[in-house]
Formats: sequence, structure tokens, C-alpha cells
Amino acid sequence: MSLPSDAQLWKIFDEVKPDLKPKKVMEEANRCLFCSDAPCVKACPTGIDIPLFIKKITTGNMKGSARVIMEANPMGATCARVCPTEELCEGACVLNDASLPIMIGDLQRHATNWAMKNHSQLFEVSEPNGLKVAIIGGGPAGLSSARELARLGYQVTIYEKNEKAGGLDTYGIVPFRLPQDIALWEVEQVEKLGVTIQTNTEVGKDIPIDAVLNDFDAIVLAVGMANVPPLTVPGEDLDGVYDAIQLIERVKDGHVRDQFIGKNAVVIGAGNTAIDAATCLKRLGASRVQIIYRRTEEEMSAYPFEFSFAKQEGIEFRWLTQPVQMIGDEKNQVAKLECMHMKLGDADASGRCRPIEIENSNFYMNADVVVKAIGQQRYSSFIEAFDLEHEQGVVKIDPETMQTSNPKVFAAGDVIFGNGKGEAMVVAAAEQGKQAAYAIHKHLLSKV
Amino acid sequence: MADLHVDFAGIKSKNPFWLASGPPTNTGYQVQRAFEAGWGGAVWKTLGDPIINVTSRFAGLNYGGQRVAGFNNIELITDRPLEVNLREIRETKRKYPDHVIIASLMVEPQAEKWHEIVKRVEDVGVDGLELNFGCPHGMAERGMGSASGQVPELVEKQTYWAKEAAETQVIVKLTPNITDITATAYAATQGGADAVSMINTINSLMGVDLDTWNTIPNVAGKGTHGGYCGPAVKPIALSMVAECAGQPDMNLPISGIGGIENWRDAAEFMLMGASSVQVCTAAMHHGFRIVEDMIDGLNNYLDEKGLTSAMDLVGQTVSKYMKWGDLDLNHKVVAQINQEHCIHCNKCQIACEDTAHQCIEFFTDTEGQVALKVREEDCVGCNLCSIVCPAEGAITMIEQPTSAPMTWNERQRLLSTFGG
Amino acid sequence: MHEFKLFTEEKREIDELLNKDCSIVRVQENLDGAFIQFTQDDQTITLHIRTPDGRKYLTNQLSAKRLNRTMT
Repeated sequence: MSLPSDAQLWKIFDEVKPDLKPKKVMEEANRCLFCSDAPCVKACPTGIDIPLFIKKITTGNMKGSARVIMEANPMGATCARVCPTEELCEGACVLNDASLPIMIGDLQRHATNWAMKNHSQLFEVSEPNGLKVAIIGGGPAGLSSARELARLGYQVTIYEKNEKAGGLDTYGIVPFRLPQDIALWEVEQVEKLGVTIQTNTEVGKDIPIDAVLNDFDAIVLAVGMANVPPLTVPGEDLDGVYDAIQLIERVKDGHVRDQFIGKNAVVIGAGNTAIDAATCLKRLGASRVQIIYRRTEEEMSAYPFEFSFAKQEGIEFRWLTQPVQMIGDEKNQVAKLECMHMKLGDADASGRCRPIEIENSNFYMNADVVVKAIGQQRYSSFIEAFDLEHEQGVVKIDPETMQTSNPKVFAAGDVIFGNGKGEAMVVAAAEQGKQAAYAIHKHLLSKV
Repeated sequence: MADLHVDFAGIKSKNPFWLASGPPTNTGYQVQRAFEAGWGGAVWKTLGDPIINVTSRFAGLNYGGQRVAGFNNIELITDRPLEVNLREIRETKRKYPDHVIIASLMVEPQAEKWHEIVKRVEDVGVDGLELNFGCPHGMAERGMGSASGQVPELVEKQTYWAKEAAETQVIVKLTPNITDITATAYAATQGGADAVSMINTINSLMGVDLDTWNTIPNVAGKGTHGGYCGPAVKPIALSMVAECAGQPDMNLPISGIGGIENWRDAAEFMLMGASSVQVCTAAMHHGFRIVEDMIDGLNNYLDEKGLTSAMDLVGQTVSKYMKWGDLDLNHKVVAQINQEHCIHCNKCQIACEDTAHQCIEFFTDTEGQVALKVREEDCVGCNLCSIVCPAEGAITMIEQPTSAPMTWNERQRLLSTFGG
Repeated sequence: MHEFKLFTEEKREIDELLNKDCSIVRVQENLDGAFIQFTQDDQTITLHIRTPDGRKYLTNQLSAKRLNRTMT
């Protein structure tokens, strides 16, 4: 395999799942029963009126359809692609038992594709109410807050440390599941409502925290989570050892091209990001990609559809396997991974069985690429600099008011997402962002 | 955002969408729920001497897995005392002064009966009256409904009696169970009607149960004909609206009824001359909430068309609807198969071969694949292939250059000069 | 049998006679189609037109001729 051209690179990163064809869209939309008090709506964290947006597809009211989706979920185009729909709306569809569930995600994708293609302006802003809100972090939670606040008449500024907004939607989900332009379209929708997005601006570094606290009427903390934590095993600093989040970020920005061709890769961890990293390496030409996980298929946080996709892509899974050290060659390049076999013990605090090392079970795996995908670290020091109460980096909020220990600061998204429940979903972040916006509105209105 | 307000015979409605008289408008509770959902108006379930109903009452026609392609009923007019209905109408109108309430009425064809009910109903503040000359079942056997609606003299006379007492607008609801609906529409005009609405339900028997040999629906094993409605009747209703809208000497506003279930259907009726539309079956199938997309969809459609008011649609297609003899004989379209979209089901070929003009044939393309093409010189442009084609875009009807237009009527005039 | 062939033949016959400056004096239509009477120099020729396209063509030619005459 030679160096891929731009065209080839984007070809291998084409969306895995094609758009539904127009005929299929109409057949599927007309199959929807238009249930009343529908279970799919209740199963959607953002409460999209699913039967209504599908009905609008059947009547050809595409703008209306897209609006219903985006109104409830400002990340509606992203979620159409990355939501674990069989766990949510489609899993709740009443047709599951009668025939087959409606392909809600695909229909949502069709409707939002229409909006993207037709440059439809779906929302308008209210009269400015003179109040200012700062949002720290331009990911799904922050954008979603910003969209709702802008519609309510607030002057909103988003501080985003990256070059582009969109957070993990822009940088953290592999392009063949979520092309970057989808996430950037959602960013653009928010910007069109007059929201200022200051990119390349890290609060606490490029702009003092005090300034943000003093200059705004309210603040939404939506910084998400940080990079993958260290494994704390020897050899982690060898060349060829990557952080999955950073790796995918570089892939999405088009920086990664040929360095994985023919490589023998091991991905540590079995969550959504591990699957993304593994399938991504395979598409970038790695000859063998193995996922190792210290527990079993039962406990992994990747969704069943992700697991089956990975297997279709030729990813091998090694369960009950724990890395002990990474061994390099003379050029300081990783060459081997020493691992141990594990067995499962009693359930731990997260409810999952605790992995226990089996003595003297050590073995070696050849690997010239090792990717760490064992979760994400917290921005604990940043949260402390903000002087907010937290529990191991998870910001504490009042679930009713979305307020942190500083009543002026609200929080949403991964920054308030508790440990040990798999990974947070975009759709949940979007909903929390909306709720934070409504909470701010309620809070500030009560003061007027 | 376009303005969805319509002016129907002087009755101002916030949108053209009204619930038709029927089960959905039986009570104040229901009508108020409908107004909350967004309906601009409601025609109250027909008032008259309270009746006794049978069970069961409805049947649905399912077609190819879709439920309620058609619907029929043997339910009669209201079974509640007039006084109860009037109390609820008064209360509903008080709570929703900006919504239209029309009272549907049916009494025996006697002047004093009409005078009495008109006065009592108008007293509670309705915006108009709709005379039900249409229901084909039950009431017709008692000389009311379609029995009176099929006789132009009775239509004219009863309209006249209602008008004698009425201060609000009188809408005459016409039955489709008649050969020429313009005859009764004209009679309504003569009687002084302010508007007409159409169509009421069509005579029907929904089916026969092959296990029990009972009719569908049945009442203790016996059945009777019912009134047919729902999506399947839309083309019939639309043509009747078109016939009336195109009558030069009959300029009454038309309220379109029959199979309307979304904004598209509504827009079609409006283009064909209706300035309000009434919906019943679709609401019975899906609930009052369907009006949300009717409003939203019509709004977006008007925006797309660059129109500022829903009234701008009314009647735009009327002048395009005419007698067959005035259509251009020389206009020619031929079918064209677009190979890249064809999925090779061959349905067009067999349809043309067996039932049209034998002009679709197989050929082997340059890659050795068998495909279909149209022998254009033999194609009469009937549309059949494109109608049966299941693949979007696979068959298009292409307009052909032809001689100057000539209609049948023009041709016959021309031939008459040659002794033809 | 392709009707188009029949029509082409009928059209050819009509054109031939019209090109010979024959004039149409009478058109009669009945259950069997159209019968067109052409005359030239006391001679009468009758064409039997069976196809709908042929009958349409005939009237289009008549109409064109009439238009021509009114214009000249």
C-alpha cells in the first residue's frame, strides 16, 4: 500500500453507512405508525417528537421535519449518525415485536441532510434581553446551551480552546461514522444565531477566569473531559504509543496519512473510543489490529453495534488481558507488549466484575503501534481554579437548577458526567446543554 | 411566514383547516381539544332530533398493509339533546372566540322545523350553519340527508327556509351520491345559500367477512350501506369541487371535504377553488395533532412559492380544468426509460404489452445486459408505464414537439366545413 | 403490427395527393374511420384513413391549408 492520495484518504473515510435512498425513505416513513404518546420520544434523551418529524417527511414538509429534530436536539445531524439508536428510540419502537423497528436514525439523517443541503435557516433569535452568558467549551453541551440562550435573546460567547468548535463531534468521532462537516454545520447553525465563538481561546490561559466570572451574567461550564489517562506501566513514553483521543483528532484534521500502513497495532480498552481508534487504524492500512481488555465482552462499554462493526472490519478482541509493560527496540520504538491474563472477581463499585490478575500468566504480544483508550481524564485543576466543588473531577451540580457550587456557574455535558457508566453520549450532552440554558433563563428571570 | 387566515363567505378563520361534522366534533370537550391543537374551526356534529345509534358503526379499508385507505360509517347524527349541544357550543365559543364554530343541521323538510332549529342554534353564537343534505345512510330512509340532497327542488326549498330564519352564513353541504353535483349546487344557489361544502360520504359497503359471510361492519350479523370517506375518496371530492368552482354562473365559496389528510391535499383543494377545507377521517385515524403539520407544511409551501397569504392559492387551478373537448389533441408526450434508475422489474413492459400499446421492448445493451426501451413512435403517452414503475426517476414522460394546438371541438368545427 | 407503420403509409398517401395539388372536398367520418375525397381535374380519389394519428394528421393538414389560404 502506498501513500494514499487525498481522494483515496477520504474514500476510505467515506461514511460506512450510506444515506437511505429516497424510495426507502418514503417506504420507511410511511411505515411509522405515528403513535400517540410514543415510546420512541420518551426514549430520546432530547425528546425529539419522532413521529412528527417522520410524518413531515411523508408530507414532503422537509424544512418542518428538520426543524422538529433540530429544535429538540441542536446536534440532531450528529446524533442521527452516532446515537446508539437500538438502545434509545429504535429500541423503544412499538414495531420491534410486530415487525421491524422504524429506522429512526436514518430518517433523521435524511431530514437533517436536507437542511444541510438547502442551507435552510431553521431558527430565529428573539429581541436581545441585554444579558450576557459565557460558555466554556464549544462541544455538544456548550453549543446546545448557546443555541437555546441565543434564541431566548442572550448575548452568548463561547470560549473554545481548539481551532474549531464542535468538541468531540468535530475531533473525537472517526470520520467514517461522523464526517467533520456534519459537526461543523451544527456549529454554523449556532453561529448564525449571533453567538460569538472564540476559538483557540483557553480560559485560564488566554483569558483569565476572573474576567469570565466578572464580565458575564452567567457561565456555562461545558469543558468535557481531557485526554486518556496514563496506564502507569513502564514504556508508555516509547515512540509508537498513542493516546486514542489525540490520534483520532489528528486523523479528523487530515494529518495522519501513511504511518500506519502495514503496522501491527494493539488498542488497550473496549469503549466507544477504543472501537473508533481500532477501526480507524485498520482503514489507515494497519495489517493487524487487536483490542485488549482486562474484562470480557459482557463488561465492555462499547455498544453491541460497535462491537459487531469492529469484528466486520477485522478487529481481533483479546479479553481478560492486561498490559504490564511496553518494551521498545534500540530506536526507542515500541516493539512488544507484556500482558497478563486476568479472571473476574466480585462486582466493584461500578457494578462490573473486578478483574484479578492470574499469577505467572505473563505473555508477550508483538506490537509496533499501541493505542491507549481507557477512558478520559478530568480537568480537575481547571475546576479547582474555578473554585467549584467536584468529586474526582466531576463537577457537582444541583440537578434541579444545573448550578455548581458557584450559583453563577452552570455546568453541562461530560464535565458533570459520573464515572463508571460507560461513556457519555452526544445526545445526553445536547440535552444537558439545553437544560442549562433553561436553568439560566429561569435563574436570571427570577432576579429581574 | 405566510398569513394562513382565510375569509370563507365572510367567515374569518385563522387557518383554512376545519374539522368536518362527524364523530370528532361530537362534544365541547373534543372541539376544545381540537382548537388547542390548532384547528381553525369546527363544524359541530349534525344537530337535529337526537337519534339512537347501533353498534358497531365503522369499518376501515386497508390496502397493501396501509390501514384506513378508506373508511365507512353507519353512525347517524347527534344522539344528544339539542340543549346539551347548544350549552357546549356556547361555552366553547366563549372560551375560543377566535375559532370558527359552524353548526351542522338536519331536520325534516318542513319550513317550521328549519326555522326553529336555526333560531335556537344561532342564539348561542355560532359563526355559520351547514345544512346536512348529504348523509347517505339511516337518515336518508327518514327523508333527510342525501334523500333530500339528491332532489334539487328540496335542496333549494330547504336552503330557502333556513335562510328565512338565518342571520349567519348558510353553507349547504352536498351529497356526492348524484350524477351531476352542479345541479344541486345550483339549487343551493337558487335557495340563497352563502356557500357550499362538498362532499359528504359516498354510498358504500366495506366488505363481506369470508368466514361468517356477514357484512363489514355488521350489527348482530346484519349490515346496511354506509358513508364512504377517507383518502380513497379524494379524487372524487376534488372533481366535484372543480365542477362547481368552474361554473361561471355560480360564484359561491366552496369548503372542500373528502380524503384530506395533510397540507398537500388541502393545498390541492384550495387551488381547485376551496377557501376552507374540512377534515374528519384523518383526525379519526391519527388524532387532532395532525393539524400541526398541516399548518407548518402549508406555511413552508407558501413561503417556498413566494406567496404571502393562503388566499392566494384559492382557485388558481380552476381555469385549467375544462371539458375534454377543449384539450389539445396535438399535445404529445412519450415515455423514456432512464437506464441508470431502472431496477429491471419489467412491470412497465408487461403493463404496456398486455394492457396498453405494446411499445416497450427488451434489448441487449453494449455490455450484454438485457434492458428495456420505449419504441417512441408507437408510444401514445398514456402514462401507464410511469404509473406502475416503482423506481423513482426510472420513467419520465417527455414532451414532444408537435403541430399547432387543435382541440376536438376545433377539429369538429373544421371538419363540418368539409361536410363531415 | 406496429400502428406507426400504418400511419406512416397513410401520411405518405395524404402528402402525395396534396403535393399533386389535389384538393380535399369532403371528409366523412363513421364507424370505420375517415374517408377523404380528393379532386383534381374532375377526377375523384377517396382515401380511407384508419389510424387515429392519420385522422389527426389529416385535420392538422386541413387547418394548415386553411391558414395558408387566409394568409395569401
